[in-house]
Amino acid sequence: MNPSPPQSDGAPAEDAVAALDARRRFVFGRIVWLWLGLFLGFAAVDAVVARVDAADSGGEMELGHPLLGWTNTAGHGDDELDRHHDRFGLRGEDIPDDADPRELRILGLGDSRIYGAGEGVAQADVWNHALEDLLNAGRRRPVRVLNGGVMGYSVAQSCRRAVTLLDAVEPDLVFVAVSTSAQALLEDPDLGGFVEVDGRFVSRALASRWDPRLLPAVALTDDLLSRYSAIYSRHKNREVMQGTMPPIFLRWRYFDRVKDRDYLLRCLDATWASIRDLKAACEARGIELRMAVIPTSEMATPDRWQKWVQENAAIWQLPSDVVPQQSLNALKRTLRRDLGVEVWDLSGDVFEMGRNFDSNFIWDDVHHWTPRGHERIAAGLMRELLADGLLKRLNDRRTAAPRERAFGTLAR
Amino acid sequence: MLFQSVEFLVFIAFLLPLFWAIAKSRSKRHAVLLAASYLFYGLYEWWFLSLIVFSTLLDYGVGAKIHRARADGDRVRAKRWLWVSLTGNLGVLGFFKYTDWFFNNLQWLVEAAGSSLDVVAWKKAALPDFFLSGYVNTLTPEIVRDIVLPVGISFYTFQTLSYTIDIYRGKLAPARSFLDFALFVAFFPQLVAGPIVRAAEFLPQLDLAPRIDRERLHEALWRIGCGLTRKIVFADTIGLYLVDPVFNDPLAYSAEVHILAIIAFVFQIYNDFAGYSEMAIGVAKLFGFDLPENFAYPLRSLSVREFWTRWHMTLSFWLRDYVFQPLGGWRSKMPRAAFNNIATMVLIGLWHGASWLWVWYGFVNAIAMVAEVQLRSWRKRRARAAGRPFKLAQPGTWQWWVKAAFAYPYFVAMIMGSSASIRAGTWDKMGDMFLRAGDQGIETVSVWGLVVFVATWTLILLPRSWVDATHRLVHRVPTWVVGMWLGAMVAVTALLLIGQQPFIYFQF
Repeated sequence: MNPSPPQSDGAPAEDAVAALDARRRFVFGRIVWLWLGLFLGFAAVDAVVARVDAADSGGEMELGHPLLGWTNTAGHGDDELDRHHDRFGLRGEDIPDDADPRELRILGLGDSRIYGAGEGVAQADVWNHALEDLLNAGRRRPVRVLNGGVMGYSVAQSCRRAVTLLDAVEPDLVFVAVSTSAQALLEDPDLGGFVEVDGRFVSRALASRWDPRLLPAVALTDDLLSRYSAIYSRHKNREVMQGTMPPIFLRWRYFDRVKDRDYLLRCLDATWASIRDLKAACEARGIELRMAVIPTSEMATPDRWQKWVQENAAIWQLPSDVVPQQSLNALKRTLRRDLGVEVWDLSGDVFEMGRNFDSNFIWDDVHHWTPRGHERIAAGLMRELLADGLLKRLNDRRTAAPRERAFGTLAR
Repeated sequence: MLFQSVEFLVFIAFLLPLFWAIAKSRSKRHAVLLAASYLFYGLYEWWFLSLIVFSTLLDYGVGAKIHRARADGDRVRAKRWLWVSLTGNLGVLGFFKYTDWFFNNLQWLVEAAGSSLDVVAWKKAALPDFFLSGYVNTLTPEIVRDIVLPVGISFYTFQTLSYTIDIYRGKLAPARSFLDFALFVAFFPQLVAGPIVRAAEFLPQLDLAPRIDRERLHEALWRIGCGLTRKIVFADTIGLYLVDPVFNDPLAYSAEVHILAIIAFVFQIYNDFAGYSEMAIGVAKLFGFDLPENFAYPLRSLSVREFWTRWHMTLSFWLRDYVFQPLGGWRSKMPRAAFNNIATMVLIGLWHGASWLWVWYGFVNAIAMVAEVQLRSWRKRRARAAGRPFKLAQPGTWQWWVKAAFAYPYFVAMIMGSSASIRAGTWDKMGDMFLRAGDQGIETVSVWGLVVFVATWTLILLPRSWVDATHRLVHRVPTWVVGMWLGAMVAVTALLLIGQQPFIYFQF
């Protein structure tokens, strides 16, 4: 195709106009085919990535998650350690399709203690099974206790995860295990978090890049791409990581460094904000919420507490004469008075467990509970459920409004 | 806006149909391209636009003045206006690129003279805040810059200079309109990292109706896909997994790993820059423009002289035509010819960056080229004395292979040596690399880095006939197949994109 020279006035000659018209038609015709090819090529690579991810994810217990930092892999199974996750990443069996619509559901969330980590703790040894056994003994209507523990989680992460699970499992009561440890209470205020837009969850990082008026469309696009594009999901996951290091390691690395007071206060504020968000989400759905104060093993005996303070007081700027009860009382005060949430206090149970430390805490990691320790925690939770007729109230409410479906889909 | 970004995909998805929809009107299509180019450039920093507009206004005006002076037969006036152009363009380039270096050297001199005067602090205090960037060069982070370096300034300054110089030489008529000239300066595909297009190559294309057909379209898409692959799959991966770990911790790795990393760095910078050039050429083709090739298998060269005729050709040839030849080139007698070459190569070094290591880089290459020329001249004289004709070995013959076997290790060592000086950034780091190597061996290097290293080497050695056959095949297949290839490459780019690594040559 030889281009025609322009006329002297700069306007193209007639044959040039015809040629340009032909070229324009050619370009517009090819653009359609080009987009088709682009889509097919992208989709083909995306499908391969999805297959690779699916093959990989079966082996990993946790995966990066754009809204939560990381979370349990759905459907994960490890026969050797006897750890199995359901379709939502909860440690336990899947909720069956024909589950009783009036069954009571209690969802407990927290860190590795709630998950049931530690050598020698089988699936059936974890607190939720023990509590389920206690609750179902002699009852006509079943109670299902769901274990929402995730290794290394903070209270803020547990609260966020609870929000994403509420519509999927429709619990009657949610409790989040909380302690006064740094891991539990300190949330990096600059990382993670999400906002809810029209029932969809959008990471704060993504939401901050768009005009609020466009957020519904952004949330819809984000949801669709997350469901159908493995490459997009990988990008979202990468957003919450720094480099290639899993966020769970970032958290541990972060605790080794001395932080200034203002930064620590911002971390605490991020935690309180997450609790407030969960409270609002539960209230909107008529779900009971409790914060279960379960101290860590460092507080379980005076000797361990003294040793811990000696080793860590400098990092957290703690006075050397601080006693566990002081910080626990301060925490309970904040939860009840400032945040307006109801509190279950299991500190007495943990102190009791400390009296016979070796039989209640796993000897080699000293943080996690033995099967006997899990039974003890389950008994403490049972006590709180029976107090003030809470269990009966929950039961009556569910009987009056049975679930319309066994379970829903998890927000991505 | 980077080529490998979602923003660019959206940008091109809107611009391409718009351009072809109004392609009938010369002024409209050029105005749209100019507006798009300014948007493309302004997204880096809006105030950078003021520099490109200044350069455009200056050279458009000066070009007209020179042309008029020549028409009046007034060579003196034409030369005076040429100096205005040279001073204006090189002044702006020099200010942004070399002020920091000048003051750092001045500070060194002041301290050597025993004075406590802080001229660097004085410089910082004298400049407006928006000039001061805290900019860190990712290639050589040790070279700290206080003054921001506007993206692409080294490229478009040379482009506009070619315009005024060619008019002065009587080889080019001024642009038909300011719009044409502004588009020549700012045309977005090659604006920020070349190829350096001369006015004589670009302006005539503006007078032609934009060309597109199946072959050109497929060629464009193919080259964009190849460029993406070279940048993201080859350059970034080899940099991330092989080059950066070694150069960031030179004392940890053994000597053989350093050698591997230096070769890998040559591969990285080659794929990075050639990848950008491929994409620029491909994108320009979508709008009906042809840009000059910038690379011609440089790593297959057998000598440093040959390398510089195959690597970043638009810069080498620019300096050849506007600096080296006017100085006398190789036509001068030694030592003047050596001086011409050293001056040109040191300018090439300084074009890349303001540091003594870049001067060294140019100087070493120049000395090697002078030695090569001297050797050839000696062989010619010897042949003449023996009564034999002097002939260069033809590629593919056994004589050529024998020579290649001896020349290639020398060439590789030269390129490696000068590359090491670029990447090290400081004399200290070069010392660490060569004199104080650690004990981590090749087994500690990422397997991905090694895989891409071998793949790059394989592609460099791929027979030219295979590459040509691939192009012919691409021209014949249906458009959706080429689209699919590009889609797959976009997906791989999205998969491997690690926080969007900028192109290395954006920093020059």
